[in-house]
Amino acid sequence: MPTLLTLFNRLRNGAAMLGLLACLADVVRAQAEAPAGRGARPPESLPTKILEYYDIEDIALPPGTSNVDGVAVMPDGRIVVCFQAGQVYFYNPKTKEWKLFAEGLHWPLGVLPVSNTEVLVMQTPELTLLADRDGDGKAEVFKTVSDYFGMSGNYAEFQTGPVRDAQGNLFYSLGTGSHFGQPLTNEVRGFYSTQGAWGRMTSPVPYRGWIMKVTPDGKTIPWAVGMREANGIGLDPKGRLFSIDNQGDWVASSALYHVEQGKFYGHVPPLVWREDFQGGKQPLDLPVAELDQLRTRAAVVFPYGDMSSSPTQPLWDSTGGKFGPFAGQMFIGEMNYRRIMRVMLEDVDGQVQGAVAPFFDSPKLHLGNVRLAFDPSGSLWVAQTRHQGWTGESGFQRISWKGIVPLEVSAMHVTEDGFELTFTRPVNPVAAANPASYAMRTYFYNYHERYGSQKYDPRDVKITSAVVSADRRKVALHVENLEAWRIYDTKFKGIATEDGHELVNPWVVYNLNHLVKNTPPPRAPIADPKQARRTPGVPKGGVKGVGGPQSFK
Amino acid sequence: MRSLFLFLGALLFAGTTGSAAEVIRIGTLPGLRFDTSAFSVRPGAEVEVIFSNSDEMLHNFVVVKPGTRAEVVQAAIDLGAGAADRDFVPPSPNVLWASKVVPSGQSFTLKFTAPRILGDYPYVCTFPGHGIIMFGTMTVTTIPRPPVMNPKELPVDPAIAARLAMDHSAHRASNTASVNRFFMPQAGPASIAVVLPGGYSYCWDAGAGRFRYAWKGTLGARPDKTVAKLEGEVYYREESGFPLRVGPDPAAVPKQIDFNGYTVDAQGIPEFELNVDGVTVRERVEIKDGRITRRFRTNGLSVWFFVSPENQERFTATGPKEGAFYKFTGAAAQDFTVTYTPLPN
Repeated sequence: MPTLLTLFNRLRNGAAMLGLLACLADVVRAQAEAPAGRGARPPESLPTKILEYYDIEDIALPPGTSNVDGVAVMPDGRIVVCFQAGQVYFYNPKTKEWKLFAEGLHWPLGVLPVSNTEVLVMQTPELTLLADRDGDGKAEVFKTVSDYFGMSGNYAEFQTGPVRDAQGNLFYSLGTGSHFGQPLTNEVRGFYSTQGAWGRMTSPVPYRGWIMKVTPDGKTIPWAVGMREANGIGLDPKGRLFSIDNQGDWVASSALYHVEQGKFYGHVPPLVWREDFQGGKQPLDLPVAELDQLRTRAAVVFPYGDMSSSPTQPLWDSTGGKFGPFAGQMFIGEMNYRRIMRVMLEDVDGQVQGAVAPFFDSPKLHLGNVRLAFDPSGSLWVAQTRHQGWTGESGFQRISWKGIVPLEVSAMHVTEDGFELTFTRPVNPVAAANPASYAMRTYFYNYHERYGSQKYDPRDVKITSAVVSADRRKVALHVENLEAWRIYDTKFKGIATEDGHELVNPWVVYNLNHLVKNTPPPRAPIADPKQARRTPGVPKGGVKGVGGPQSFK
Repeated sequence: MRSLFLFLGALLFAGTTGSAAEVIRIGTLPGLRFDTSAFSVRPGAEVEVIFSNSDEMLHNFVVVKPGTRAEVVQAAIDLGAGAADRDFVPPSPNVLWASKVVPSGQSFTLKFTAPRILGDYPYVCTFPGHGIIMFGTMTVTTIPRPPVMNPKELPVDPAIAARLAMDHSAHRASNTASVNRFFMPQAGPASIAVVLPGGYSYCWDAGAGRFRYAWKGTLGARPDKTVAKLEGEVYYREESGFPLRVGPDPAAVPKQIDFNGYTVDAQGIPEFELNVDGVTVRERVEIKDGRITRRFRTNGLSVWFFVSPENQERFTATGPKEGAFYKFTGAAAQDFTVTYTPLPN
């Protein structure tokens, strides 16, 4: 069914009949191993009332280009984008003119301006500074900023970033390779690890599945480990680093992690490059319970198949209110759905956790929402791609707030016996105070090698009371038996303002790791059948590492 | 008549004031600028201009007769093929003195005797596209004044920028190379395919830091999950590993080879930069009629280039041969070329 839907979409979007077979091949490939997981198709987005509050505009791409894989805003307000085929262009929003800056890059998946004539680009082999030194509007200088990592040529070894913190450090992430792929030639860059080559998504060369840091003096440091296909990283206003990861082996459902130095985030094969695993130790041989103890859990989980199957770049609303009532919150793209999500984080018991809600669900939005950027006027630019056969669409759109505040949940905090919701507008107290206006379910995901996870122990949560604050902007939900290390999915019915604004997105999913106090230790993983593993493929004649990281601590 | 008198007067006057050599230091700034927009010399003085190029691009320093800058700049653009061989200096009677093309990080000393005729003598970089904005004024005067320095920040003049852009696009469109980073057959995954004007292409490997092979033809399809296709036959392949040694002993294989990126020139031809055990090495490749000329610029004192036994006959270089190596020492190590000539068909 998903295949048919995809084909239907492609045809509807003007794909030529000749491209039909190619489309079919793409769908099969995407289902084999998209970073997103299995390329599961969403139900077509239901129209919400979001278009009453936000405009969406299509931006025509320059002739001969497609698949926007990166977007950022230059200091002078021009938009810079990179394309899958390796070009970098500037777009002037005032004149609507495109100007070529550079070409010939290898699958760039992120841009970051340095000045009006310099741009950092994260391409497959390296992080590169592109500079126009002679003032002709085109880059002549392509300076390698960071390439201290391996490449096997495996098609799934994507890369994401960079982001820059206030101290000038840069961060980027390195995706793992698929067991369906193998080194393309007899040479890889970096030391080739036969241990790292095992697993469904693999790390046969250094630092695949790691997040890397580049210091202002140019040193590259492997920063954190255990990502599968982290197709989006970002820094919050406090300078904390976050990364998403995509559902698959060891990743029960796509998730958002607060990334800190030296920590392990659960995807096992990349551990081969950690100091304590070097010298031939196979991390996949460790008992799952032990791996579970090593890992740091996600701050937010995007339930697979309903909320999101392939989240992308997290971006904080830095517009100071120009984009609506969400200043300081996180937006996050979706590859496989016509959806942009919104995340509300809080610090509980010394840990970051929080909730996700849909934000922009509309048939007008393309698929493939891979990168986001806010411009100085407060518009959100959305780069859209199908990259190398991912589920997605090529496009470029701009979303702007119309100036009317939509009714939305603007904050969700865990309390001692439930949750406190804050709304963007005062709500009708009659509906809001009725526990029947809220349908809450809870379940958890398991940690295991198998691809994805079912929802374990799903059950309804009894809401004992809903108490509306005097200003009618807050509702305290008191629930029976609030438990740590579970997901709480809440759907709203009939919540509206007295002057007729309905809740635009009546759905929020909170990842409850920590309680306000006395959090019990997390449950042990449930035993899962041992997974058969493919023997890693290498090209005829074997494989050797040339260049790149060859020696380790 | 009046101007003749003035001329004679100046000549006489100059004769009395000419004195010891005047040393002028001129540098470059990003954005096609000299760091000095004006300086003065005494008539008839022995002048030494030390021109240092700290910019990323190639530049020269050409002094021309008063009022002839635009003419000379246009003549340089019109040189076409062979322009590089004459350092982009046109054979014009208006050119008084000219440096060679000075690459990034290098300098050139230009010595001349200042004119005895007072006036403003433009100096300019005649590298195509540069001369429109990259110039300054040498004033011959009996009352010397301090040089005028350009601000470090780039002044933005939209009209000039637009003209420059047009100039460059015209220049580039004629005959340019393209750099394409992609997975290439029989090379490491961090490869770069360079398609040159003239129908030849080569693969340079950023992971191994070296030239891999050349073929006659261009680059074909770049599929999603495998290596790019070559449109043409590989006729030379360098199988012997990293070819350079950067110390006194050619047996010492470099331990650390880091790729630093590349810079493209006005023809779109890249010059790759490496750090080889602490020595900066730049390599630029041109292929004409199958002949592969590799120009290396280094800051090493002693650089060796290895040629495998089966290819000895086919290589020439600008340095002496020692065993299987070409050896470049001292100034020769800073700029040398190694050429492979294929067997005639």
